Order: sequence, then structure tokens, then C-alpha cells
Amino acid sequence: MTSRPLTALRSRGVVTRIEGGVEEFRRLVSLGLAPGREVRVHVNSSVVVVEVDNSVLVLDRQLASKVIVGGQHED
Amino acid sequence: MRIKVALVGHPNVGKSVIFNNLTGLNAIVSNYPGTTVEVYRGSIEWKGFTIEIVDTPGTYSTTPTTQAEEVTRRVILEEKPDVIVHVVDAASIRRHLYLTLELLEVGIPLVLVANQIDRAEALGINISRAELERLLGVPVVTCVAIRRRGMEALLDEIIEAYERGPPACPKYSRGLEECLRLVEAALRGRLPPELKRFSRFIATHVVLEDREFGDLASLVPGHLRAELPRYGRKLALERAAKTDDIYRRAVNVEKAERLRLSRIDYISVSPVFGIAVMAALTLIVTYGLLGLIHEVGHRIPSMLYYSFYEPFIRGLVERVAPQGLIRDILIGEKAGIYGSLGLLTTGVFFVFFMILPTILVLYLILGVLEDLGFLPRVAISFHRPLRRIGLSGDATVPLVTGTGCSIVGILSTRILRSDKERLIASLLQVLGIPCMAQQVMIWCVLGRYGLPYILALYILLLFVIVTTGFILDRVIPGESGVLLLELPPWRRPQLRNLVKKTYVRMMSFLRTGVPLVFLWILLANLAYYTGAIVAIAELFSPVMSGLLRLPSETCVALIVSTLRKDVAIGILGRYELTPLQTLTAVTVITLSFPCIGSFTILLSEFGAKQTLKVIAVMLITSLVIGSFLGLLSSMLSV
Repeated sequence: MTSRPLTALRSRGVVTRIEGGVEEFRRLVSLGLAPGREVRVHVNSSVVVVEVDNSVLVLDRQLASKVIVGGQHED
Repeated sequence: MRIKVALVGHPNVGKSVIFNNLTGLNAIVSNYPGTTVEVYRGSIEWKGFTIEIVDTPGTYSTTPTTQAEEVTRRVILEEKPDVIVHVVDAASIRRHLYLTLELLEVGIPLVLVANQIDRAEALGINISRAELERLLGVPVVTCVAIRRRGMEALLDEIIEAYERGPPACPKYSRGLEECLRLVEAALRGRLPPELKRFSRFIATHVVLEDREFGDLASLVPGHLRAELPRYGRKLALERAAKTDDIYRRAVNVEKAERLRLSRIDYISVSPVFGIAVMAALTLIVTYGLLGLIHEVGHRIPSMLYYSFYEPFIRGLVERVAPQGLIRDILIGEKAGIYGSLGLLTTGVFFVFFMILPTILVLYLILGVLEDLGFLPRVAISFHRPLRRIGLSGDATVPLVTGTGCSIVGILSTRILRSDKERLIASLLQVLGIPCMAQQVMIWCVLGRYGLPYILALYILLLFVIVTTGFILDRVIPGESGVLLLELPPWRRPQLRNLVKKTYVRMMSFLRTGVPLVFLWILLANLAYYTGAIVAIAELFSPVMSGLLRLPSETCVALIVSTLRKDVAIGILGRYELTPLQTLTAVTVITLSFPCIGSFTILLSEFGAKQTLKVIAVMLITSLVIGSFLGLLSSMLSV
């Protein structure tokens, strides 16, 4: 299982940790991007579009690079 | 007995649909004190109780990152509702439970509403209500708000929760609880009396380094204060783990359906193509909207005004007061809207035949776009370029509608999340974005001298917008946020919801905006009547001829521009001006002062202080740009 930022993920993965300060941390966690959650990347270009718990979130790359995922089901 | 209820939840979970289901037409909308965030209030009688409901702006956390979220927390801490109703989207309940756990810390009775339970079940997500109630210790209601299902059960549970009293706080690991206890003890003595009951809630926010409570952190003993960041992360992580645990026990997922994004969603997030397509789409929607506004909001009312209302009121007033001050104040000295200003002619025309129909159509269409889920998609496309001038992608719609009419544009800044952004977006459009009627006149008046003059004007305006935005972003305090938003599913707008929302918003404009228009007209009329207007024109003549190199009689056009800029530009045709002088005059008219419609809206949306600031910025900018053009014309004429 390799760890990488969300910006480098192309399909599915599980959030392992979140980098950066408490502020970004609590923001991302309160939106559902918490460690242990499975995420699915739909678009990964100038913004990252990611699905978590049947919702779709859009993040800019700067923020997405703080979310570290382990690729469990990489293709 | 009265029970005060706050509806709280993420954006797009159906709070406002539930609010509209429960409350009648007595609902009102107002800006929360000191902000421009809309808060809806209404009430319902149920089983001997009067249940007052406050619909708060969508929020992801009790630690605010946007102004809307700040308002939600203020409603909780300042208005101290008797019951908090947390509305969640049943299909994504795990994400929402984080906020539920935060709300449990408040110490106010809580009801959890799992909305759109039908969609969740269709996705194979089954929620055990009993198990969820047991784990959270609060009543849980499932409902389908748009079909009005579950509303009675919700009202019953509100009363039940009210009588049962506050639920227990979530318990965390021993180390964390110890830290929370110490922090709470350290601040309890220093909290103002009205916040004492929220000491545990505030302690959790101090641990999470909430800026609002930043000065309270200094009360925490030194050795613990250094550890706060570690405990903050721990608190967020344990909460997330707790939501996972509750979710695992109370929710049974049969099959994991993969969500599908629509084609337009893929387009809206692609970098270059997205901007192009969304720009085209936005222009089509906006210009379609503006066409409709022009027809319904302007042409038809004008026709009604001239053929029925004006002859009627003129005849009536002239029979009572054939001449003199009373007559002039009521219907003006001469016929016509702009010939002179009467309260019952010009005033009534502006309010009831121009501004009101315009905002009616706008609110209806804005309501559809909000319900549809169109706005966040446009926002994504334009986020990057707009960030450089202190705006976020959300500002696209207000700016584009501003090219039609600033009244509409300023009102649509309501979709923006911070006051800073609303102010910048409003200022930029009254300053540098000419409205549709004005653009037509610009093409007529400047077009006589050829396309380069029109192009020069637009380039100047673009330059002004970008520079001013760039400066404002650095001058105005507050932040305009990184991009982190939720893409709601496309939804069919609900007619009932739409009509109610529009009605409530209209009534709020009638109360605040209308008196302002009448006051302004009265003052302007008195200025004409007493001859003060001539004195004003003379006062400004050094500026006109000295700096701007314009004949001093063009001052009249500038004064008219405070009413209607298109008419003011039209008046320029009367004077003998060189092409460059015409460009100067048109630029100054565009930049210098908001028209009466946008002035009224600015006042009712931002208050007198901010409006004066906006006007100051406009006057300064128009003087700077105007003097530059004036210098150019004096150099060329030598």
C-alpha cells in the first residue's frame, strides 16, 4: 500500500492522514475527508473532484495535496 | 408555551424546504445584525406550543470558516434556542455526524433529521433509527421534505426533545477529556455570564484553535497551552472515529453504488474548456434572464405606467393642487419621469414600475438556479482568475448579471459567503460594469466616432476593475477563501419553495428599500426647486473644466447620472464635444456615482457607512481616470 497525496490519485483510495495546520485539518475532517474514509477521484486536473460518502467535493490542488491517501484498490 | 428552534445543517440538505413546510406566509427574511447573511424566521402552532423556527445558513462545523457559518454559531450562542434541529442528508449521514457530535457539545436539546431517506434507501443505505437514537441519545426523525413526509413526526420530536432536556456530551479518551476539563475550568471564571452555560462547547473550540476564542487560549495554563495543537488534532480525529463507529453500528450498507457525474460536471471542472463552456452557458442564461427582466420588469410596467397610472395621478393631483410646492413635490413641475421629479410620479415609477418588477423576476430566476445546483458549478470554472481580485468563483454570477443591471448584480451577491467578497463584487460592478441600457447608449453616443473609442472605454473599464479589485483585496480585511465546496446533485426546483422564498425576499425589500427611494427623490426635488442644483453645478465647474477639460454645462449630465446613467449619456449628445471629450464624459459618468436604483440597493444591503465608502472609491477613481483623459485631450488640442 503506497501513500500519496490526493492530487496523485486516479481512482480509489483510503485517507490515511492529513497534513498542514489544525485549521485545514478540522475543515477537511468536518467535510468528511477524515482518516479511514474511502475516497473515489472523479476528476484530477486544475481542481480535484472527489467522492466520499455519496457526496461530491471539489478542492483546489493546494488543499488536495494535504490529504494523504493509501491506494488500496489502485488500478 | 413558546419553543425556539434553530434549523442547522450542511448546505443543500433541505433545511429551507423543511422551514417552508413548517412555517406559513408570516415568515420573514432579514440580514443577521452586523452582517449581510440572510436568516429566515417563522413560526407554527403545534399541540398547544408556539414553535418559532430560525433557518440558519448552511454550515459544516461549529468552528466557522465562512461568514455564513459564523452567523449559524451566533444564532446558537446569542439566541440560545430551546431546541436545535440538525438536518442531514441520509445518504451521506456519516459525513454529517461530525457536526452532530459538535452540536451535542452545546448542551441544548437536539433532534436529528435524516432527510431524503428515500434516496438513501435507493442507494442501499439503511439507517436503524432506534440504534442511532440509542447511540446519540437524541430523537431521530426520518423524512422526505420535498414530499412533506415526516413533518408531523418532526414537530412531535421537537416537543419531546424540549421536554427531555439537553443530551449528554460525547465522551472522548481519558487524556483528551482531562485536557478539556482543565481548559473548561481555566476559562469558566472569565466567560461572560451569558456564555457560562456553553463552557464545555467553548472549551472544545479553544482546543481546536478557533480564532474567535483566541484570547481565551491565553487563560490556559502554559504547559497545557503548548500541547493544544496536539489535542486539537486528537479531538478532530476522535470525533471522526466516533462517527465511523456510530455509522458502522446504526447503518447497514447493502451495495455501494457509484455516483455518476453528469457531463456538464466534468466540463465545469476542466481548466480551459470549462471556462469557455461555462462562460457561454452563463452568458446565455444571464442574457436570457436579462431579456426577460427587461420585458417583464421594465417594458410592460413602463407601458402600464404611461398609459394608465401617470394620466390618472396627474389628473388627480392637479385637481387638488393645481400649482405650487405641493404639486411640484407630488408630481413634479413638468411631465415625464426625468423632466422633473415627483414623489407620486418619478418615485412611484422607480419603486413599483422599475425596481420591484426587476427584482421579482431576478429572485425567481436566482431561486431556480440555487435550487437547481447550477451556481456551484459555475463557481468552480471561474475560481482561479477571480481569486486574484479578491473574489471567489461564486462571484461569477453576480458579475455577469451586473453587465445587465447593477441592481440585479448587487442583489445576487447574496450568494457570496463573506462580506468582503460581497462588498468587492458590488463595488466593482457599480464602478466598472455598465448596465445594459447604459451600454446601448454608449454604443449610440461613442459609436459615432468609431469602434476604437468604444474599445478604449471597455479596456479602460477592465483596467479599472482589475486594479481596483487587486487593491481592495489587500485593503479590505477578511479572507476570500480557498476552494473547497460540495457539488450538490442536480435537483428539480420546487415551485412552492420558490414562490415562498421569492415572496419573503420581496417583502423584506419593500420594508427597507422603498423609503430610501422616496427620500432621495424628495431631496433631489427640493434641490431643483430651491435652485440648489445650479449652485452645485457652479461648485463643480473648476473640476469639470480644469481637470476633466469638459464644458461646465456637462455637469448637468453628471447630476442626472445619479438617477439614470443611460439618460445621462444620452444628454451628452446635446453638447459640442470632441470625440475624446465624449470618451472622458462617458467614462466619468460610468465610474463616478451609482444610479438611484443601485444606490438604493447598496444602502439597503450594506448600510450607509459602506455605501459612502463605495461612493468615495467611485468618485476618486473617476477623478483619477477622468483627469488622465482630460490631460490627454489638452495635450492633443495644443
